[in-house]
Amino acid sequence: MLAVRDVDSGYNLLQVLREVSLSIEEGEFVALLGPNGAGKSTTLKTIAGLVRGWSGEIVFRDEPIGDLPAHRVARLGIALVSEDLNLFTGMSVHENLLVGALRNGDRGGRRDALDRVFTLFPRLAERRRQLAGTLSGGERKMLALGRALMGEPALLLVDEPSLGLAPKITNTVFAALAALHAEGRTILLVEQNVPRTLQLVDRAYVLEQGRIVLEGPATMLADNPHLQQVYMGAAG
Amino acid sequence: MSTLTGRLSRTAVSRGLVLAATAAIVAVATERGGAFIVINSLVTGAMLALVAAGLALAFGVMNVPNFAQGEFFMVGTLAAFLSHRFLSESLGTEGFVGAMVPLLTIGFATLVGAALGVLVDRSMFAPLRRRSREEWVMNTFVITVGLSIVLINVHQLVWGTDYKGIFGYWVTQPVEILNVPVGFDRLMAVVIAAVAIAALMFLLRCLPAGRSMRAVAQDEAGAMLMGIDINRTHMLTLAISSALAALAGAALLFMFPSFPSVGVQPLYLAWTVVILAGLGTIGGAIVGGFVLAFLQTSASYFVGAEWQNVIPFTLIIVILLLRPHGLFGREVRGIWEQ
Repeated sequence: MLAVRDVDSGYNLLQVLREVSLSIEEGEFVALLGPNGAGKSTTLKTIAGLVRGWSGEIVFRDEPIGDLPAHRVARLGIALVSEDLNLFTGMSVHENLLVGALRNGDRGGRRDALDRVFTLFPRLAERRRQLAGTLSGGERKMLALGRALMGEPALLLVDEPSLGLAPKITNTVFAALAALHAEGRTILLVEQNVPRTLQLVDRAYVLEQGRIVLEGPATMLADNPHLQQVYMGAAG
Repeated sequence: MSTLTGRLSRTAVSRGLVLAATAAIVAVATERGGAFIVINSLVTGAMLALVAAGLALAFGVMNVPNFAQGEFFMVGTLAAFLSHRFLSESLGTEGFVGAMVPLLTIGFATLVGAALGVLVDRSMFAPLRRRSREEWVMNTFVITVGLSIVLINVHQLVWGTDYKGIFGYWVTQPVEILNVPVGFDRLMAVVIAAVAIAALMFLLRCLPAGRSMRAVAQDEAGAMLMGIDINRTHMLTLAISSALAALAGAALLFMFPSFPSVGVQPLYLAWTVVILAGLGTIGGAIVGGFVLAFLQTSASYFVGAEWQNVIPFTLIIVILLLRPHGLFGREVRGIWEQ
């Protein structure tokens, strides 16, 4: 479904990604792991078109998307839930969701999507008239995820959903991602919580200093000595 | 959380105070001076509200401090003058067709304003957006000041400096409102402004295009991720913003004849309103337009015409000392610094 091949990317003169290649099949739940500053967020932003790749190619459903601006990528069905969420803080929860549904052409489809989001996150239904800027951190994550789902994306890119959340709310968010995967959605998840993520996903890539250093099925990576030592705190 | 509610209630209190004070002044002014003060203030207030709402829109969505908004107003007056002359010569001033001529004139001038907005965005802001967003606010400020000078001088070069005014749009008997005879043109100016403001609010609140504009204003990256075309949204924003100014100029042609620098006074008053209301809040700009107009009219009636700017501006200085972000504003943040 998505293939990233030998992509270099970065900001101004600062190169962040070096020959990054990864691919995701329809219906897969894939994680991108790695330490701070490895380039995980940059990878997602480059796919979404917020950052222009320097070289290499990005192909989504047989269509090269590397040179498209972000709004065109979004309209093709790739939704990014960014690390800073990018919510419309001066709009109500309901209005945020409506903006998320702009890509979703017909009225019936929008209503179905709204129902599904409210079933997934009942909290958002309770707060639908409230301004997004007045929500708690956990509710904001739910809204960002819900807003992305309103456009019925084919591929969901999620950047660090557990960042800054209390464990209980983290559970809610992870449970929602698992439910979405069970529905057959394709997800690329960036996370720092490695053991937790490997329980959830099918496959994972490990990014260090802008390069993919490891990849494989989640079960196999969970036993990898390098990962255990560096990310799971196992004794040497 | 406590600081947030504290700030909210302070905002509410100071807003309430100013609105109550304005209401009191209006009441006293009407009691002692007559209802015409209210009518006069509504006419100039409607004009200010339109021009200021356009400024607030362009600043909120595009981060452009538009100092050419007065010249969009001027283009409105000029387009109205030229098309009014043409239309009343070709269609006449009699009967139903004659009565429609002013509406056609004002509609045409508004379209000219919108087209100018599109042209300015395509030819100046869009290329600059593509090239660099560093120092955006400063660069666009300089662009609009330059544009303002060019437009004033083009007007002077082609149409000269004389006053190009009309006697009136609708030559009818004044309408009696609250025992005050009100010229039909004034009445229509208020009605037209009210319709335009209602349409603007409907667009921003209820239509997808308006919601996209607010989305771009609040979080540009977020808007792009939702599939919103930023360039199209900016073009639409400037078109609406300049159309509002041109509409105000056209609807008030019977009060302000067209001449090259006719837009300078509305520009500065509208900026005052926008700063008073808080940069980028459109509802605040509309309310602020009426508040400033009431203050001006009352000051000029009760104290003297030479005081009509001194009193409102002193008040505004005091308000800004107490609330630096304006009455309706939150902390001002550029779109790209969010």
